[in-house]
Amino acid sequence: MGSRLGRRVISFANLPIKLLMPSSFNNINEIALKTIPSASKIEIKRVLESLYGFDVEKVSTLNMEGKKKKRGGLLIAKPDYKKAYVTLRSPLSISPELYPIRIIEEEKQRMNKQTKSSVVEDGEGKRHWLDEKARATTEKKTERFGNRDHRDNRDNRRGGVGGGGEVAKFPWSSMRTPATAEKKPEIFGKRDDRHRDRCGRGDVAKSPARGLERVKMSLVLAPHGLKPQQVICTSDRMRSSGGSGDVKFPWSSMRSPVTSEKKAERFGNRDRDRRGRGGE
Amino acid sequence: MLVSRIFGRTLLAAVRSETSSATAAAASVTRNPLQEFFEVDRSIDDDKPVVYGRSWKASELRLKSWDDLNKLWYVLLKEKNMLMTQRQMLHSQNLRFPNPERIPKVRKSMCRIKQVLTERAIEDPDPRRTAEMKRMINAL
Repeated sequence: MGSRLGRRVISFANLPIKLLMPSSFNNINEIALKTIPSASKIEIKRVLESLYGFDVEKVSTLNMEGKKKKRGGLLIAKPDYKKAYVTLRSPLSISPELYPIRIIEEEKQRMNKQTKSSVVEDGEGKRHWLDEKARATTEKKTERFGNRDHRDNRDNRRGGVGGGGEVAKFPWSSMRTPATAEKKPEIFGKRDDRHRDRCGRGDVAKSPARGLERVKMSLVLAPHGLKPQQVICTSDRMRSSGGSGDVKFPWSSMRSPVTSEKKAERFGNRDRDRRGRGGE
Repeated sequence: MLVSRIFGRTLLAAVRSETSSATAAAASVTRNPLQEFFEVDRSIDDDKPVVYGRSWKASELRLKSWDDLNKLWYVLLKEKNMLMTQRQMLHSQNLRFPNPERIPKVRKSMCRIKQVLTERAIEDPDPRRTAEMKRMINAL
């Protein structure tokens, strides 16, 4: 009967096999499955060959623990499982029209789309990074000549660059979200480098946050002594500081809103203020 | 067709496999073994609700022979694997697995098969054959 000592005959095999989603749909050479941890490689191979008709070349297995979640004093654990990678002798293909595959593909694509920003910005449609680069270079060229002495123009432009010079479409267009803020320094960064080189300061760290309004860095300003302050790096009026004598830090030429605001109030007393503050 | 609504979906498959086992050899050459992990003829559109039957009753199983029950066991095992694969794939994308009560139905049918076979093994007058049958039933 079935009582062979060398090889056991199993008449009622009971191996739960869950197939994982294959990586591609054509030319499948390796499939992945999940089983119970007490299944052996040989058993998996035998079951696949006899029951399903795969031609199996190799089975490799690993034991995995189920994910555990601890809520308060309670531990919720998913069952441990065994993963098996089965290499086939001849590649297979499967049509994505079978039931759950299409739905899962759609879901995956939907998840990929959702990782983009959920706030719709001005001028956002179908953009390509090359378009943006081309726009940045053309802006650079137009700003190089004739706008250096007009700070107001620059301020206005900074407000308007977010929309690309177009009419704002949304009530939140003037807001700076992290998405727009990150895009700006690419445009401003090149301008600053050139200005700084002209001022003779080429060693300022080219951090991407330089042109941002919202990103705060705590900097020690040279004229203020050792008071660490939350300053926001602005990119305007950089060249006006070329030639200051009491510069201790490589970022001293940068204007924080603290210094820039004071300048706006007392427009004519700039040099006197700085010298006065240097003495404090 | 009323019969197909009453009995488990696997009944039809079992009947088909018993009667046409000789002619099935030619038809199954092109069948992709990977397809057995997915549901047969179920389209994506959700118009018609999926029809599935109930589980096997023990009284129905007692009418079958040993070999029939053996074949039915493997049919049910493949069905259970298919359902569990489907559930695992849908849960991995945080989608809902519809009709999850099919899995316990299949599981209980398999349990009843083993129960019926064990009953037959107990009633056997020969004790050695009883032990043999029991070993075959419960071996894994």
